[in-house]
Amino acid sequence: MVAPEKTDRRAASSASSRLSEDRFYDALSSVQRRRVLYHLLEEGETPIEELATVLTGWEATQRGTMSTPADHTKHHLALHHIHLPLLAEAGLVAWDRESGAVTPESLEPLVRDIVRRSVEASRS
Amino acid sequence: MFESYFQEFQATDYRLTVYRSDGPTDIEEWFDAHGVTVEHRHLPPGGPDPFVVLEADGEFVGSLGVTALEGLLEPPLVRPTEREEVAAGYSAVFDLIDDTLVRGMTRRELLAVSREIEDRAYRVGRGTLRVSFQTLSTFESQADVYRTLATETDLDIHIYGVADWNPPGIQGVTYHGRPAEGIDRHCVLAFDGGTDVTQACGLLAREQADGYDGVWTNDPEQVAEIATTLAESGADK
Repeated sequence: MVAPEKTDRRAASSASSRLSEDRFYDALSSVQRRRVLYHLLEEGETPIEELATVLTGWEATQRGTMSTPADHTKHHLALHHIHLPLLAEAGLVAWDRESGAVTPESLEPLVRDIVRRSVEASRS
Repeated sequence: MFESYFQEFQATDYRLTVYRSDGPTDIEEWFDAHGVTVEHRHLPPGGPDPFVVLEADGEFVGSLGVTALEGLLEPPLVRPTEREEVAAGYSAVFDLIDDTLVRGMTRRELLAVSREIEDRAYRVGRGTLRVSFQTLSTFESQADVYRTLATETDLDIHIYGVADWNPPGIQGVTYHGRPAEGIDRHCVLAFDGGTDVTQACGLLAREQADGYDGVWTNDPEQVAEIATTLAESGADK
């Protein structure tokens, strides 16, 4: 799929139009992607490598056991091939494949709130 | 002296990073006291509980929740007996504690680790504690600590060091003022754990131009070897 032009995205950047897009819901339909987006919204630009480390550590704290290099690789691959493409396609993050840097797009307060609440809800 | 021990301890470059949203965790202080450098990264408040990421020579070896790691480090250290079957990350944690050669420790850091060994010996209250102070004059500032250690416990304490000072006679403390050559470069502590070998611990440090290279071990066999070397070095002629 061809990425929309910047101007198109800006035109479509109001919360109401985003909420009518299937790809927005696709992007948020996994707890891993919500965690990634939440981390990015709170901490700003983060390299993909570190996002993989955060997801791996998050899992380790929930399981109470040591996560292995295989777990880390699994998260890294999923980020690269599934999560980041979906988040980028929905216009939620910008991902520089060359440098590995992932940056959150400027999101409406409502969307930020949904992401934050969904992550907090899955903590308890 | 002690060459083989230093060679035995691996020179793997470990990197430890704590991911957390709040202030420093106890585990960071613990590692700091053991001369292990810990870095930290910030997590958002709604994120995961704090966790530790361990890398060896730049490669990810494991991550573990801080709570789980603290449980592992609670003395006595109970380590899995079948080390080969343990996940690489767990072995790395134990290696980090057991075998890491820490370079460039300051005298202050060295004293902090020494204090931990002395505290453990004090709490156990029996067994043999062997300590080399390089020179006996170095022992001078520690004499009161050891007087307490000797009089309030049943510990058998042996102090090694080149006799350049006349130490006070303390019941329970034996001085060895003519140690083998080379001892004056080393600061060594070995506590056998008394009747409980899981409490055994030792520190082996060698003075270098830029501070001390040190090894901390909780492995009863290694502690015993270090103690034997020290005992033999101080055998009165």
